[in-house]
Amino acid sequence: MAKKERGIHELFASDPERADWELWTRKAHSPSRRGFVTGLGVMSAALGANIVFPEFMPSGLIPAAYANSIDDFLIEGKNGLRVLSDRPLNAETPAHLLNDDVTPSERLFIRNNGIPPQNVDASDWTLTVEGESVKNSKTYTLSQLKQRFEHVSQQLLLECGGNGRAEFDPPTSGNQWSLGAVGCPIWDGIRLADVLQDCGVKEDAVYVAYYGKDVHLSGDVTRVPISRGVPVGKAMEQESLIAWGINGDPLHPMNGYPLRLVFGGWPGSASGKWLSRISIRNRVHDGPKMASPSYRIPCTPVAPGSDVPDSNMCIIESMPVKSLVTYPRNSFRQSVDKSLALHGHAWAGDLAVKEVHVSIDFGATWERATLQEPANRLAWQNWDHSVKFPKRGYYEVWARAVDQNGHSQPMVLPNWNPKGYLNNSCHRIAVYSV
Amino acid sequence: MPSIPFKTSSRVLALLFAVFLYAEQPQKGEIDTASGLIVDQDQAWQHVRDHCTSCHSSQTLTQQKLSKKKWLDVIRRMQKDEGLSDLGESEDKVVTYLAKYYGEESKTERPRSKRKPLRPEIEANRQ
Repeated sequence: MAKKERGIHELFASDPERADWELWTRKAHSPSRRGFVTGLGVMSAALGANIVFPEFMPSGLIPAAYANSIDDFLIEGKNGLRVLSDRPLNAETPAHLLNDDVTPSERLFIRNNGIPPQNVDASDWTLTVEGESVKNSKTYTLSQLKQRFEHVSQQLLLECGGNGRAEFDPPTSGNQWSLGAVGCPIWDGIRLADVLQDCGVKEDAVYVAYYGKDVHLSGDVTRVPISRGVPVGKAMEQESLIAWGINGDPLHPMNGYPLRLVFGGWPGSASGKWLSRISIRNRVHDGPKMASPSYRIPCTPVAPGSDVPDSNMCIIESMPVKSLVTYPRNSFRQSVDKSLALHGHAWAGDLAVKEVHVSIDFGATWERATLQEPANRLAWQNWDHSVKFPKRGYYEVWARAVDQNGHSQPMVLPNWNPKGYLNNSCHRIAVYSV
Repeated sequence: MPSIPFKTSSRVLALLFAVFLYAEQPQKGEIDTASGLIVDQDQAWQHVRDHCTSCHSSQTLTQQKLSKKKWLDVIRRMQKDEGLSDLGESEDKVVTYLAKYYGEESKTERPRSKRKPLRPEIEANRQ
């Protein structure tokens, strides 16, 4: 029943000709890609009218009747996301819809491993802290967490470790994210460290792991879909949060309502959703999706396409420097006599971004953009730059960020890895000067 | 908060019902509308549908472009970690089918390589 859960726009955005076939059983004439070999009757019946010039209607075109009447997107509380899969639900945000300096909840990507809990009652929700290295195991209700610990709101960057996977060659398996499995909202909650210290952390603690209330895709309740975490040092940082809110609102059901972890700058999979248990471990956590090849890259670089033994696969921690051009959108048309105000964001895992450079001549020359300080540590930094195109024609805007240690984004792909993680190559957009 | 995140438009439902009524049996090389899989002459797509899409939707695999060896690796990992059963005699059919229609050299659309120029008209929607 996949199609019921996908909007018409998403079907057409991912593959217009397939969407034509799926929705209208439409096949167009080849090679003109116009008209109808099949499907005219279905589309006319659905529209309730004859299409007057069917021979001219391009394939892959959403009839304006529907383009105007059906919501852009059918996941309630989300807007404009591109669906990669519906079971499990995975959806990313087009780069130009990430233009807000603080990402709205409706523009935050979804990366699910299992089936989210249904009929959540926040008043019943509890969080248990346990594990080999906890001094006193405790269970808190959500309201106890809100009453007993200091409230914190911080803007923290969340990015899927596989964001950008789609560009790797040879191709790697997993969700074929392009650019948009990233966002930087303000998270409302409490410090994880405060809760851990309330229970007491033994000297031998190594890792802080999570368990959530999502269910394995098979429906087998004895299987855990994903259980990861972070080393205890990261868990104790001031920016590591247990969050119940996003930008002052409750979390979206697909982003972990009513409770989740947030570790800025690390693979999103560390930031467990639908959080119900925290385990303080005396070893590196061994839950599902901790073992190779999940969220690991070769400890030493390998040639593209290599088989890499598990012994040479290391857990990803802080993610590398990266940036986006969020205004304008790709294929923008710009009047030749006016300057264009570019806008975007840059981030660098646990580090700060030092510089952002912009090129409009395919990297021959670069100009330094104006870069703002982050709202707080582990928030993305906004950049702006004004460009004027010397004459009419086709241009590409390239953006390249450099972190505080002088590490730059690569223009080509970074080193290949078996699961296609950490693609931080430069973002570029097309601009027509007209 | 809503417990069910999906809002299904009644118009889309009506459309899908219309498609259900009008859709013919899929022919070779077409896409089976229910599963989203490419229909092949050997009917291997039905084995893929039965073994692979009971837990996850076909989009999980139709996004991929993997060699036969890599597809077998994926199946082994699904068996080791996710509870996929032994495919028996279906395994070779499944792997051969996946490598042919969702293989490294398949025509499944991929985003641009950094080494190639943009094709903005074609790729505008990807942004």
